[in-house]
Amino acid sequence: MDRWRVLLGDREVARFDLPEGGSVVVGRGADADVRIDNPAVSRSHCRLVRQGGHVRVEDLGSRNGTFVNGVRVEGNAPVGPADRVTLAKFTVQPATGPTGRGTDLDATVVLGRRSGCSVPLRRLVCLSGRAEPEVVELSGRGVVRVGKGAECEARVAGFALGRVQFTVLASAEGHVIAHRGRWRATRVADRKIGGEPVRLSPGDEIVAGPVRFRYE
Amino acid sequence: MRARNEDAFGLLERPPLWVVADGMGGHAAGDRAARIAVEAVVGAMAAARRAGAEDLVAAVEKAHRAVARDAGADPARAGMGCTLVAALVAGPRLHVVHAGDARCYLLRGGRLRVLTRDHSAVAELGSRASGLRHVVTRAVGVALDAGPEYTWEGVERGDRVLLCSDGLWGPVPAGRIEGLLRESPDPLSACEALIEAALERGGPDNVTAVVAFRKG
Repeated sequence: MDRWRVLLGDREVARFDLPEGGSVVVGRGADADVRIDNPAVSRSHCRLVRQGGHVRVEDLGSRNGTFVNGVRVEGNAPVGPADRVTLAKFTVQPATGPTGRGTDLDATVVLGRRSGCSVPLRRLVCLSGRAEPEVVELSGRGVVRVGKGAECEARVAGFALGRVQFTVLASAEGHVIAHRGRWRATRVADRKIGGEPVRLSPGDEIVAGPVRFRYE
Repeated sequence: MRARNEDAFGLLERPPLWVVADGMGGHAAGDRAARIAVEAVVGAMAAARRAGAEDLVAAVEKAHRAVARDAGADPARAGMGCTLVAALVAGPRLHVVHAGDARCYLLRGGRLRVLTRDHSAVAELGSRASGLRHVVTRAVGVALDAGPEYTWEGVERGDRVLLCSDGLWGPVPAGRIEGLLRESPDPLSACEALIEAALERGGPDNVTAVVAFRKG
């Protein structure tokens, strides 16, 4: 129970250590030990404490509650190795083995028909705001459109976002992103982008209005 | 801008779009695949509003599904497909999408550049083995798991664009293509000269080329 991770669906969005005698605050606030940037998560949402080999989770008066195996935590509750702690759409659980699944996923490659070449799996993960789906697979797709329109592969909600707000395209040099909306800007790694395609690097954050994605 | 060619190609004035496809999988079926693919791309682009790169990639993906569906309807057409290259001018940019070894060339300032990267065994394995010369690793209708590939280029005055199948660039060396494109007074004569050069050098009957000049 040393290593823990935070999952959104089956994607790891954060990991942290919880040593014996230690405690960790999970929340949206800048002072949380483990930050989850999602509006449904309170600034200081919950605290995990490890004492005498046992782990307990304490709800810190969060608005949307902390759950262990689906049961809302009143005050605090024990957490075993097989238990799942959930807050909003996020799951907090012990990482099994010395390397968690996130590492395995990062190493996953697809051997395409292009024998001898391998393509890393890439995706957009919604970190905050409303997006459907929240994890958008990019591999094998020539284009992924993100916007409010029905034609988009990823639908998002937010005032003044475009029918197609931005698009991610598969180019020879990896994925590129181009802004397509009219009213609200699209930012990549804190820089406003235009219609000129910009290369994406793993870890880049893409922000359009209230919606935020990470390219990974 | 004007163009001309033989075999499977498509043109659209609004938005400015050019498509070249080269069929494979048996003569009759290959022609059919190329024709279906070109029609699907042109049809989708004619219907697109404020067409951009994402519409072009989506149109090629749509063409892939259309060809695969048609191939599935008759065992004689099993495995039919085509290589394809499509270029769209949208505002200040030229968007190019391709699958297989159909190419897009740009002549600018008298120098020829190829904008696309062949999806072929030769290009990807670096093999010169003659047995592999006609092996493509991506094709519309049969092998598009990796998606079509996108690239772009800013449009400048005086640019000359050539889309062609391997029936042209195979037999005609790049230097000759560069010279013919540069010296031709208009797209029609450039196209005729290029196709003539291919046939002179023993090119196959299905040499397909589309040439467009941007006013200088």
